[in-house]
Amino acid sequence: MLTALSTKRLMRELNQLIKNPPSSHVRLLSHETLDKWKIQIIGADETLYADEKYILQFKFPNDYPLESPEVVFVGDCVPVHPHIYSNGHICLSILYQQWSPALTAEAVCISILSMLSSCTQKKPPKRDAIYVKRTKTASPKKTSWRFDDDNV
Amino acid sequence: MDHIEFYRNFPLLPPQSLDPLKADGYIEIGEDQQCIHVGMTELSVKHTSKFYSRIIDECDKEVGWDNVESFDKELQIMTIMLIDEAKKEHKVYVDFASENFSSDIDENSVSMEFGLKKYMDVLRKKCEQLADCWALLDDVDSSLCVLQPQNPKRSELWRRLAVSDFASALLEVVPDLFCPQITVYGPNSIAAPLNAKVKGARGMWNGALSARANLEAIFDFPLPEPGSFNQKDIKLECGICFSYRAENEDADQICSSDPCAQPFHRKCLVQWLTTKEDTRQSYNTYFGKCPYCSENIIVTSK
Repeated sequence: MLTALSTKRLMRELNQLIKNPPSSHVRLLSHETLDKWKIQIIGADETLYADEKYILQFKFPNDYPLESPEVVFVGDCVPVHPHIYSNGHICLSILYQQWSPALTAEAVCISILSMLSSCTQKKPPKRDAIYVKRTKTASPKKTSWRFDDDNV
Repeated sequence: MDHIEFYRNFPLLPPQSLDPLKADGYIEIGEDQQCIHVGMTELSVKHTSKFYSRIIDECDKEVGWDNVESFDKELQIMTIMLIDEAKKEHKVYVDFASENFSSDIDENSVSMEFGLKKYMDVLRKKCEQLADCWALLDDVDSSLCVLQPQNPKRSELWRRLAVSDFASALLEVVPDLFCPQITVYGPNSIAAPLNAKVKGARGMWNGALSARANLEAIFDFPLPEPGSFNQKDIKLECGICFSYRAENEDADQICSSDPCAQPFHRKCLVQWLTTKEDTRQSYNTYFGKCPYCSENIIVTSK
């Protein structure tokens, strides 16, 4: 059960996202329940991912925003990127240790878009196959991430 | 009532069905036996309250049906208009579904056991008591830039006003207290001197002057006109739950680092800080980092 705090906050965020989407590259696809959204992001122009469409799934924990949302790429198509595993898990500090309630679902989308935009070479993370085999469909929040590559 | 009895009473009103009652026709009224057209459909009352007869009795004898403004479609909520001595209109809700009374004046609802007449008397007394507060708030609403609440109810005895580009003031009126309570919120460098001015002007409120004149005398600069700011211009909402008032508390814990000045609810901020490993705690005071600017922030839980 979402708490009163998280319900109110998610309503605000949802409202904002529907009324004032941040850009044409971020679009709310669905929100079957208040705590599970799908958002489409479209790669920014003049980047390696220009016009490519991907779907992000957000699952909000009951004590959101004190705890970060679980964010993964879903669907047939996961971007090939050094920080994105082929099962959709994203290695991005703000989704785990660096989460702050100052961030919103919208801000997370923008961060992921900028992570794609700054990429110079489409290649999967090192040891992608091993990671994917080990984690399968488990929540990425169970992984203990190390954020040592600030280049991309 | 069966068919025969219904027919005897209303010969010109043939029922299409008796249960639920549905009929369309005429009834005779008055001595000259004028006919009026009636169509009737029995409303399905989802919930029947044992208080119906009592309330109807009270409306007959004391409250007066003239004051009953409306019923909702399911006959569950009756709205009564209460006009106070200052000719202000207030709505009183008689809710048969939850068997209580409520009103615009008082947020709390009262059980029907209390009696409608008695409840109305209490409200009238409250109107009398709050008349001065409302007069002041009406003056504030019409002459100053009010940020919150957006559609104030009579029960809300506070206003958040725009003061300058970065600061807002909370004005609260208390019945029987001569002057409103004022607290300025905003970055420390702006709010602290203004709060000192408020403190210095204690007891100087002049009831004969307008609210604007009084406030401008305290702050010593002109205040923004109504509508010159909207909510988005001045950060009022808690940076964690994104709402303004929660559990009757303002987002009054402000990050003291100057450009940030992000407000938080005490409870929200404490909850956040307790999840962070780098927060230190001494008794009920928490020393941590602002989730917005990462500068030090201190909060004491109540």
